[in-house]
Amino acid sequence: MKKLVFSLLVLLLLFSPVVVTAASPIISQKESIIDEIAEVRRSYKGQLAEYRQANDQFIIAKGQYEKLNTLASLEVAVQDVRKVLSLRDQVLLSYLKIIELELLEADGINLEEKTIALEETKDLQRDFLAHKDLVDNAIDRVAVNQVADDFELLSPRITSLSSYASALLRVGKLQTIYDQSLTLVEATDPRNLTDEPSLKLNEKIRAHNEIKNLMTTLDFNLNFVWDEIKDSRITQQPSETNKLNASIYASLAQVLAFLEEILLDK
Amino acid sequence: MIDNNDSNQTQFASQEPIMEGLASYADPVIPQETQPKKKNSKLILIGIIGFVLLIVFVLLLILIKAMSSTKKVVVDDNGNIIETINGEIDPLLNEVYILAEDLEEGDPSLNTIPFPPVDMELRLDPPRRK
Repeated sequence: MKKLVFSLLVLLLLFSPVVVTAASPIISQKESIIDEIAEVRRSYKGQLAEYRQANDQFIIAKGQYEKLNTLASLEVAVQDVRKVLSLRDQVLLSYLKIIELELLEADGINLEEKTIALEETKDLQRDFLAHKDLVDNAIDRVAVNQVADDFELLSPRITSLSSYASALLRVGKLQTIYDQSLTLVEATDPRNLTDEPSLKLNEKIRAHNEIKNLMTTLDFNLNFVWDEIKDSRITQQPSETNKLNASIYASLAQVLAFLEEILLDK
Repeated sequence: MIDNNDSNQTQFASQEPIMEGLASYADPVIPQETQPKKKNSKLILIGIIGFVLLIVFVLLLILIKAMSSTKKVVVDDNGNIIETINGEIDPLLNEVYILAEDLEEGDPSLNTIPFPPVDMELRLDPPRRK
């Protein structure tokens, strides 16, 4: 008997680290991404404050240059615009890093769309870094005007990525809640309860069917939204799914309220 | 007929029967049938104790199950009624509340990555017309 208890304890001790180590990499990876997001967001805020300050300074310098039109005021304006352009690139680089990390951390996003968004984020980070180098080396009026022209090519790409990534994150969150709700709906199916009186059981089945109908509509709407997002990426047009997103959100809230009602009535 | 013709003159005559008597009562021979009886009684005792412990254990289980079936109703911070089993929230109901909180965070009208408030048309001179 003692031997049996001892061997069971030994087995438990041997296997417990295996279970812990098998589950921990995913959790620790997720936690490290969350920590990184917080860190990047902090430095992003600092860079944004610095950018605002430099921009205010540039507006004054530009006003002086337009008013005085002297070489000295031009030199100040060139130096100031260069500083602001560089800080703006830095802010946008941090913003791209936030997008990348948020996408990596998010669940529920279609893998194909996620990969495309991440690739575009990486490409833009590389292009903005190259642009920042050009800005830092632009020392005269012609050069700063040239880097401002170059930025016009990057500008639509980053605004497009921003709205695309936002849409992915929004719908990804709704999709995750839908998936988890689906598990709950299955777990609360009254057909699995055998000790229920038939009158009460029929009532519960009707209530449960109502939730299932809502879930079917939600599934259809979510698929439609994913298709819309995909189309908007291909056509480079912003997706018009705000109304549908709001409807999905309301339906999910309704499903959870119904589930709560059913569970409280158990 | 036994011959009593001991030639040892140093031994007292009365000593002989006593020595013989002691030798016969010093190590009483235990009958072999009595030993298994003791072993059996030990086993019976262990069996009885084990049986009593088993009954106590079963009774405890029944008691715990009976106690767990008594549901308590508590009200949460938001005024919602939460049905609990022995003071613990129903895991499924708890799951629903966690999802409801997640849903609040996932409000599609909120943007977690708003575009930075920077001037995207920033430049020193106006763009040349092409």
